[in-house]
Amino acid sequence: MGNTFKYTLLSLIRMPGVLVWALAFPLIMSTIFMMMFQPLEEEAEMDPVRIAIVQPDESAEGQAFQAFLEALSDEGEDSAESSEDDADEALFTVTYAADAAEAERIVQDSLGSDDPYTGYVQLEEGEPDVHVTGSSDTTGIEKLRSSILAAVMDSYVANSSLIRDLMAQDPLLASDSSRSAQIAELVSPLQATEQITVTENQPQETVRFYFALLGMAALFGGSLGLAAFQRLKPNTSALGARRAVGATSHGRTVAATVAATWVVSFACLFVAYLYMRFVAGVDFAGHDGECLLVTAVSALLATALGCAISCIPHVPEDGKNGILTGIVCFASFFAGLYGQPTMELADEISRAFPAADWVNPATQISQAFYSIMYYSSPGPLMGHVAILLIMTALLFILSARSLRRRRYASL
Amino acid sequence: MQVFKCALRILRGNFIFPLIYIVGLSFMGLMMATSFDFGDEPGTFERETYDFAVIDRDGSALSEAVREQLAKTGTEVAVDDDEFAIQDAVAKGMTDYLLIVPEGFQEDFLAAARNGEDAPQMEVVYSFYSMEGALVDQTVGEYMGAMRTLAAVSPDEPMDAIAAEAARYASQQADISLIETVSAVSEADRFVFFLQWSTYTLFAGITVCVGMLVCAMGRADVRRRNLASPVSFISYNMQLGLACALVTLGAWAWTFCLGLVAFPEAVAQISATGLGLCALSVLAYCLVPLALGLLLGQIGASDVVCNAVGNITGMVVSFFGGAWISLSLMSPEVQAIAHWLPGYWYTNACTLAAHEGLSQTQSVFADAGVLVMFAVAIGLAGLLIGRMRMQTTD
Repeated sequence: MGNTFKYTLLSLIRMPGVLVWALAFPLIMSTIFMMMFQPLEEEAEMDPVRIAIVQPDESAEGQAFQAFLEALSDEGEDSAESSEDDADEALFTVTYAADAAEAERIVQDSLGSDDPYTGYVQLEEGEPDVHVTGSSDTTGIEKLRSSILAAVMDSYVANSSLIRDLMAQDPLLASDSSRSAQIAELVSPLQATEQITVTENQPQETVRFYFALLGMAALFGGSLGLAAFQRLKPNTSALGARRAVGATSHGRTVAATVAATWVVSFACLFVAYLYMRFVAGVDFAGHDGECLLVTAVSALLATALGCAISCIPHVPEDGKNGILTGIVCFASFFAGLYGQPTMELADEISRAFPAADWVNPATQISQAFYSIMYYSSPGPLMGHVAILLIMTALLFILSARSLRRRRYASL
Repeated sequence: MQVFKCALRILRGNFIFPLIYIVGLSFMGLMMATSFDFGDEPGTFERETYDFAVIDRDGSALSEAVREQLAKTGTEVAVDDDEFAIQDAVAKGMTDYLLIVPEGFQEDFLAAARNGEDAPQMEVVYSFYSMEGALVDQTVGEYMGAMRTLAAVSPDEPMDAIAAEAARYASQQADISLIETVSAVSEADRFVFFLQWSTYTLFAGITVCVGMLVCAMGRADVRRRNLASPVSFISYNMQLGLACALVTLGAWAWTFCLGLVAFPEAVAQISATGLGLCALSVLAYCLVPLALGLLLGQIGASDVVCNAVGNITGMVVSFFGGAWISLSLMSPEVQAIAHWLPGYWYTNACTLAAHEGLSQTQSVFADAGVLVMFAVAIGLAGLLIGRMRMQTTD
């Protein structure tokens, strides 16, 4: 049994084609993710929205509008002197233009740049006339920025309408400086909320891609199990036929093969985990023990998957590799691996059909890591681990008939 | 045509790969392209919608009014008031904005407004994107501000009346108009997105199929038998090349026609010239994985290696082509690297062809030319390796 374990281990390590999937794939993809997600993280943070404003006139309304904007913005192009804290809290970065034509030119000229203007605003008869770029990109960020500008201007319209009505109800307000100051104070933007964090770590969308990648890499570890079991069964390879007539009992050979495959699969996945943790800088919040547990269970599931696929009768090894690829690609698709659009679609499907998550091993692996990161209770993690173990058991049960010692007419 | 027929038999025996990569994954692209919103109605601006949840520990008229106000522009998601449910909603992005109204908030709010003190604050949790959270927070801030003002100037008004009056003011909106831009997203982008997603499916599918075919035909014993046969070397290579071309053209035709049939409205927005240029761009792109498949076959890669290289390279190329995340969000360094990979030129060619059509014919031809040069460079490397293998005993 020890020899079977040892030589299965050695033969798997010496299969470059198989190790490409189990080891090189997650390392290459992690490196690419690392390069590409850093700017996306920055994008997820709230940067001030760049807008152009047609310089308001000297009237009371114009001055009120300018004061309203100044309360929400840093000082735009001349903001070098403003403190960093101010810039962090500001909603807008404002650039003033002499007229609407100049404001529109500023906006148009900025389109296509790294930091385009979202639109411009002109105060006309006391009401803001807002011009936005809307959906000028496929990422949806420009539409979001335009919506923020629209929401702020809605707020200004509502507040100015409120002030007008209050003035109309009590004309003395305008003449009573202390009362009008009080009203101005009341209609200034209200910070009605305080942002808090309820999860162990602040959720980051980019981290989900790493988790989905770990799910895909784990399942591709099934190619190790597939290769190992193809070389175990007498009717699928010459090596298997020789081993069948050897002195080691079939049960011990199967057990040693499962153990060796799991060890290689776990080792590859663990290297990928370490790479993500220390090179890519993914923050697993110090829960290394739990992450190791998920990695170990995922490796066992991959072994069972490869074993089950190797048991499909009348399909050559190439075809079985194709089936494994198909299962992994589709499972990873619904775990959201293939980019932002896929992640959104996977979330929609997950919300509409939660049962789809229960049968998708890639989603379960990905969500198990997710549970470690974001939940204070170990319940969700244990739930995902239990589902993974049930999947593993089912796959081994499916393979049991094919793995039993059998007589082959061809032998 | 015995070699050609034999090649087709090999392809039929490995039908699982084109079935997964070219057919299966293209339907995934179809699903994604169908599910996304590509711009508003022309000339109109629609405000971004959001998902929100309110954990109401106050059970007051004020908290109910805030919930109703948010529901006018967003979609409410039910979240239970327990730690796990709240963590679950935020961690899975079920809600963009989770508002917690503390117990006794209405009382404190009214007292603060009427006594001129600082208003108490509710707790809020943003999910993945703080920008979406900021948008919803703006709505809440505006509404609460109006309620504070009304509560201060009308000390005897009940909360229901204040909330209704504040809602009336908050319903007033500024005039918003769209600036006409050349880069505006339109329905045609749905078709472009589908073609962009196809960078992965086409690359992986063609590379794997061609690589496995050439590899199977190039095994040492098979090659020796073929070289000893009466079929001339040129005829043999021509027939094998024809089979590879058939795979490539099949993948190209399937992907392009699927896009045409699935997105008639998007296609209707693209001129005939634009469609022709799109088809040309897709075909030029297909030549790159064809060349890579030939190269893999020439170096004698196994089916597992062909599969791995096709799949991983396909992902890398599509990633750098902007199919996963828009390149405009990437750093200048990544954008610079993207220029060295075919996905960038393909995406550029398809986008220009779909939006500009005739006016950008030269640019599209230039992009397609770059793609052909990628294919030629890889193909020449494959031929060189094939030549060297011919002179060895392996």
